[in-house]
Amino acid sequence: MSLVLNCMNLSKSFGKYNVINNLDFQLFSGQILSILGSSGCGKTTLLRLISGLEELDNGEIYINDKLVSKTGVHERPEKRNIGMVFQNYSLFPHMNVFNNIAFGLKNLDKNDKENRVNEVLEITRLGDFANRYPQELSGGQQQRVAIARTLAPRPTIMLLDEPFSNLDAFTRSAMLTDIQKIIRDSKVSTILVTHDREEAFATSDYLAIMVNGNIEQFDKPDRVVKYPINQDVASLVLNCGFVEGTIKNGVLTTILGNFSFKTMELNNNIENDKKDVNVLIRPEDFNIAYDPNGNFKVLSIEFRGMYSMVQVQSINHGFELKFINNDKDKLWTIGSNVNLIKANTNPLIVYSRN
Amino acid sequence: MYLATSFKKLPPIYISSIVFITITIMLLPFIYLFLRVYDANFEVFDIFFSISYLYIILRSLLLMILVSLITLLLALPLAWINVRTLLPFSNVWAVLLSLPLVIPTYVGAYIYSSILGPKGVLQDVLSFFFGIDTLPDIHGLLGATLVLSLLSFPYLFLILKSSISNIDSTLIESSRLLGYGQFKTFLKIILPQLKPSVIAGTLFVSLYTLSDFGAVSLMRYNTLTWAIYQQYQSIIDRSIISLISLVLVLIAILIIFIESRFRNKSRYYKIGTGTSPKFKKTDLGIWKIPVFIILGSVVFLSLILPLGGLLYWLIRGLFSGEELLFVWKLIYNSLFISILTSIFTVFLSICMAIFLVRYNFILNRYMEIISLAGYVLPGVIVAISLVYFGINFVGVIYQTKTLLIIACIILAFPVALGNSKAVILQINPEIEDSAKLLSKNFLSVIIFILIPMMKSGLIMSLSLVFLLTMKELPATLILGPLGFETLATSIWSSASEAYFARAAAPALSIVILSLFPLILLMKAEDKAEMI
Repeated sequence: MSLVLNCMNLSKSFGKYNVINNLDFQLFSGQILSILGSSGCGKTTLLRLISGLEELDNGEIYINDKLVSKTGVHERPEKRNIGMVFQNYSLFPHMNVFNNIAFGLKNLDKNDKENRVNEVLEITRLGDFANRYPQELSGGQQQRVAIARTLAPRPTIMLLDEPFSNLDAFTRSAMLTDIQKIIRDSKVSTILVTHDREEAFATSDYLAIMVNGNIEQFDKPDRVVKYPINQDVASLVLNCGFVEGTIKNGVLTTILGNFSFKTMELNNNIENDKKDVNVLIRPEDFNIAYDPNGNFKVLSIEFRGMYSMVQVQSINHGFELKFINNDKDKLWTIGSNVNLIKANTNPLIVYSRN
Repeated sequence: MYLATSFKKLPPIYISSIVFITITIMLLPFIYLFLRVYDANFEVFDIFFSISYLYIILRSLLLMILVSLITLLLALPLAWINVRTLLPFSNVWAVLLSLPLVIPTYVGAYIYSSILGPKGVLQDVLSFFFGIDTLPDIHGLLGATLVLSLLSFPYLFLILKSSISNIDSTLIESSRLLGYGQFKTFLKIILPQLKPSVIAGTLFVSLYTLSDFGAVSLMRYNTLTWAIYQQYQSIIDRSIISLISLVLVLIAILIIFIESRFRNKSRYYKIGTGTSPKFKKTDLGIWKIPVFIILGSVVFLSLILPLGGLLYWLIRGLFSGEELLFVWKLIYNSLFISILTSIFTVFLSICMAIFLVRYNFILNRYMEIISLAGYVLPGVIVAISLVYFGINFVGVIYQTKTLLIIACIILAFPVALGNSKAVILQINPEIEDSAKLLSKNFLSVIIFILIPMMKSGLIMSLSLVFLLTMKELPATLILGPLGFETLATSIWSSASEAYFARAAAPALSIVILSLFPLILLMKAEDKAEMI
């Protein structure tokens, strides 16, 4: 696998706002990378820097080992061979599907152009729609045209900016599978930007978690979910809560009890010293048990099909936590007093509290 | 957009009656033309088909094509520079480039001929300094084209400015990423997107030129409107006028037909519902100075020169003892007609818009076409047709201001209707329904919910109609009661007899009075854009 994109020390600000801060990452050929972050964290700006639609303040971008962006160096977007699918798909309304897709193939002769368009139409299963105009297509079809148009000129990298945000839930889940297949079949290196964790998990080989203009964690999706490096990352990738705890002599004490723990921080002396920490509580970590004298009260029960999501509140401290529950014969209901019992022997992840 | 989702079976009787009366009034000029042509004897056809009339038609078309082309060549780059480049003071430039709207074409014509014409100011200056005694005569095609282009390009400028700022910037970025440079992107992506507004705006300017009377008459360029007026003044048989008018109407209808053909064929909808990032403005770089020079020249020719000319003649008039008091009476008359016309036109157009938008009748389409009468019919024809109906059927209102106001309503109605329809379309019927559920009486729904929602739209309509009526000339010349003069007619009669100094005060008054509705209009537009 060769390196197709190397972003080194990128910075970009708009006026007073630093949108990207000293950001580094790399992309190898054929990889799908998802960048997950909340709105306004700089994801779209990062894509625009890579595609050349924005100029850098600092840092360097290399595409296939060629320097394309640096202070004073800016290769124009039309020269970079980078494809981008915009959030609103940005299809040309005055051209039919065929011409939209053929638009980027200006260097091919008529026959080659037609062959390539047909090839892409087949990959994206749009063969029957070649003569339709964009506004005659459904949202999902429009999205496939946008991807087909981007793939047609065989870009070095394809960038997808929140590609699923305009689709209804039903189409979105179908498109998630579809798009992943299209990308894998075409073997194009891809960066997908999203604020939705399901989209990010479903499509990617690697996951980058972006917070405030920086990439906080870059790893395989399962590793990020298993070991979120800090509280911000954990909040983004998991439907989790936090409780306060103290570590003394290698034991973690919380109001839920004493537990074994694991720290994500590099300086491990945390285990010996007395230290205040925040403890990551995942929805599957605890079971709920009826107890008239329990320290928690059930606030709500949301039925989710295969399970229920139960929200409980600490009676003495007021904080709230969410847990998955599958117990059909449960004795408690909304308003009941309950206690929480650890459901497994996994150590809890802790983050030092500043 | 909210179309008739909650169809009621029948509109209230008062709305239907108002709409019926409005449509009847709009039909009058058409009925008149057909009656006249139907009655015409064959000799009239012989005269009509003589070379001279054919020549006049060609002259009108030539002027129309020239003005449309020049306004497009001026407005498109100016609007582009204004919206998509980092032009310093772009808002100030936008206002300066829109301001020529308040200068009526006959004022422009009078000022240009008094400055650039034979024995004009320019010639005086040139002969004083350089001894040049003769200048090419500005009257005729040259003068008419110059005046109409410089004073009507702001319409196209405003239309294009708004559609350029509405272009989805990701379309441009997609084209760049697919390997096209800036120039090719402009040709292949931007221009096709602008096509509908270019066509609609050019259509407006062509019809405006075709129906112009003030500039062509003062520039002595004989077109169809000028021919109709001369015929009206000189002969009793009106059939020939009707024939010429019919030709004019047919040309106008043909242009509208061509426009709608173009519009139906092309597709320009915005696709997808997502937001697109705010577009990046281009740095002008070394072009900054040439752009400033071009913008400055256009503003100088279309705004500063006419206004400066007016001030010059005003001061010169004052020194030679010109009276100013008569202007008050003219201002009163102009305001009287313009205010009443604005109120009636907007009221009628709102009723018609409610009818067209909320009730789905087969006849709606045709009613809308008939309402466009004022768009295709020049003021001269509307006025002459009302004279006919006034004399023959309702003698009481002939030679009264009522008939004049009716003519002004017909002429301003299309503009008001377009605006009112947009206003009604924006009001979701569900808002009306939920307001009704919350409140007991419908009157309070109108006062507290609907009117505040329609406020900026109504202000836009009132301002537009006021602006148009203030400048209206031929209908007032023909229909005004004996001795009734407005600012417009007074300017025209003074200027056509070369009493330039006497025309200056009323002309300046018309410009100043038109500024107020223009400011309201621009504010209302800003508000509408924010919503």
